[in-house]
Amino acid sequence: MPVKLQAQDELKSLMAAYYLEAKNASYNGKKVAWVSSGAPVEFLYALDYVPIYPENYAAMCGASKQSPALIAEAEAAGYLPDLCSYARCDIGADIVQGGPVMGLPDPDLIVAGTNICTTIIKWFQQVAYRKKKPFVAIEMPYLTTGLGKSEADFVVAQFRRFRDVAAEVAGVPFDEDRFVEVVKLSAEGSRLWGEVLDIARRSPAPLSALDAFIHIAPIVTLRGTEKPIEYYKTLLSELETLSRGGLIADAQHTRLLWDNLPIWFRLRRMSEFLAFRGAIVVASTYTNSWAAIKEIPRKLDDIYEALARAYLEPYINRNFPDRVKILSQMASDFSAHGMIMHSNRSCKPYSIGQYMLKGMFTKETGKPVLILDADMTDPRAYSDEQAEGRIEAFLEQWFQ
Amino acid sequence: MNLPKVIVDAASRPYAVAAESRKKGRAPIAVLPGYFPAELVAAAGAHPFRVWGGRAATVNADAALQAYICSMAKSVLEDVLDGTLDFAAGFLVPSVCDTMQNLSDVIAASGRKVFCFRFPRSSFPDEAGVWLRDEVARFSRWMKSATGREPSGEALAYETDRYSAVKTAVLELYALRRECPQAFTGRGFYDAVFAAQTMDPGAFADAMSGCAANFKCGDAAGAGRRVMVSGTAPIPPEFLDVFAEHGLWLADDDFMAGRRLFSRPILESLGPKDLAQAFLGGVPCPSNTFGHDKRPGYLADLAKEAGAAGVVFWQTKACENEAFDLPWIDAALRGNGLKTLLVETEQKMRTFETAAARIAAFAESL
Repeated sequence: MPVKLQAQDELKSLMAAYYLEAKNASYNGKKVAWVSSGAPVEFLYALDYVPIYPENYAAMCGASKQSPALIAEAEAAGYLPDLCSYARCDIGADIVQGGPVMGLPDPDLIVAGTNICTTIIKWFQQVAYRKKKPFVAIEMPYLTTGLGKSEADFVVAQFRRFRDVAAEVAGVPFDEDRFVEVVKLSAEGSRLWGEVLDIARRSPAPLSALDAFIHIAPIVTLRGTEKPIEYYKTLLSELETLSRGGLIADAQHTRLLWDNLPIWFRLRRMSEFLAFRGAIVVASTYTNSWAAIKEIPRKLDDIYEALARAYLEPYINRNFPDRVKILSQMASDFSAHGMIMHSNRSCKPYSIGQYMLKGMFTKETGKPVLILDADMTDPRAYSDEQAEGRIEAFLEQWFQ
Repeated sequence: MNLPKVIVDAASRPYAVAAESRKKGRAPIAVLPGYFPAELVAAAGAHPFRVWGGRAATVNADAALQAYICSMAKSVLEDVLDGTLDFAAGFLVPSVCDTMQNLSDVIAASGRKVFCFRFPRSSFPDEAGVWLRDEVARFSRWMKSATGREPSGEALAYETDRYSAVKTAVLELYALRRECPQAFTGRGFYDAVFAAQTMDPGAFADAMSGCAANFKCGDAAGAGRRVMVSGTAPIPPEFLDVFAEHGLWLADDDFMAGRRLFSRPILESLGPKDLAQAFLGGVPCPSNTFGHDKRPGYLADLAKEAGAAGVVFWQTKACENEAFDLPWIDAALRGNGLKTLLVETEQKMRTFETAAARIAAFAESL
């Protein structure tokens, strides 16, 4: 059985406090911004916004198994089942004010970056029309041939415009000094998150990447504040104790990578299913997407550029050859034996091309890949029997 | 309306017609779904032709893409992987959605020469204009590597005239259909629209030059009701004839492969203003952040001008850009007194009974 970490209780309190603050934002005179997970939230924290992440909320709805009812509400309102289930889940939650915190507080500003997908633009456009609130779309160009000056300049230019729009909506001037402080906190939080993930390089690994999907919440939602820093320090300390104290009871014969988002409504079951069979997911392409700025430059202009470059570089915004390099490096760093690619019908940018990436990865590393059909929050696209049967057969190759 | 034989021929064998451009010294460049000014490709001495995918079984593409991926992307990929499009000197992929963006890498991984044009979905037009200038410069360098030539201002001026003539001819056809929709079959009309995206622009404009003057509405007027169609592309085209079978006349459309494409401004120079106008201007489109909020009003006006009593959403299954707009647009059109109907389509659709029944019921409601 995977170890239950004590830090998990702290995580629950942290997230409860975060959503409580968000729900009470208007009473406390604070502005609320709905943002995509890859949006430059540092500008918003510098302006004292409470940023809310609809993607995170959809994940919570999925993990708490509330997504099917919410998705049904969205589909009844005309949103087709082919659309992203995060979007359907959140739209449904908004219609009925449902989910773990009974709906999200209304936004004053809506912000999306294309570094995670372009679906987010369409989804948030709908939010903006329904809520009649300003919407900022930031194009973060897909890195077809690497990250050049042109891509960085374009994003910096949009950041400056976004900053001004956000300040105008907030009704306060933008404080660059405060912004630099927030960027420093964001970088430190990301660095510590990177350390948390890297601890799974050890054998046995004290943390499964499937569990890391739960612990990712603070770096997504509170990036730019002290809170993720404090939380990840606590988590790291506990993981160190586990690792150095020889307290990891599970045998870990097979170490796997995971590609794509998790299957939120089966996270625990999947983790246990693998553990019972001596397997562990040691790293994932998704959780590694928040390791941001490494060093803070001195000049403000350089900070803008460093931030732009960090936001342009998530795995999913890279071309296929770069993705294969990243996957191969991860396989080497984490001593992985193979990979499970979640073919996620809700996430096209992650899923389209997986068949080719699978071949390219295996050719590069010699390691096998299993493609698993599912969805991140819509259980109708998933079958326990089929998925577990396939995983079981996949794992058998290491026991022959 | 009887179309010139050369137009019908081009619509029935588009790739063969596009391949013939090599004989005239123009390298054929396949342009995948999504907007891109054809005149810019032609200004590099190449021949751009639009690829919307065929109707054949997607054997190779099914091995490369999951079942839940848009059938148009799959059909296009099938034409690439089975070698049908091997005559193309390169593939231009406008990144109008996640599917097209990744498809560019899938095609590149198959060893073909690909340029993914990163269309800016930004809220800031000035910054997007600067980006477009840089991206067009990269595209120009790619064209040189693919065909040996880059677009030039002088060549663009020549192509601007030729593609303006195509645009005029197609919009003239739209005007005729609006005037007399009963004179057009679904397939016949879109043969011309697709031929305009395949043929040499000069040849197309020449072929169509006498059509408008000789057009006669005839005595076909009857009890049909006018409707408008909105979606990605009129595929499968023969199915559009089902409308006529149920007494519905297609008076206009809002297809990405139809009126939307031909309503875009023609690129007149390589200056940043003209680039921004050509790429980001035009009528509201689900794939374009600029002017998108005007879409309900635009569609309501278009339907009104066409005298349409209803709008049919011709939804290519799994097209997220179109699908996200549906509830919002639908509510707005209904608020304008228009009836609406959703018909989900697949590129490889062979049986139309369910959709036909829905159209029949819709006709009765009108």
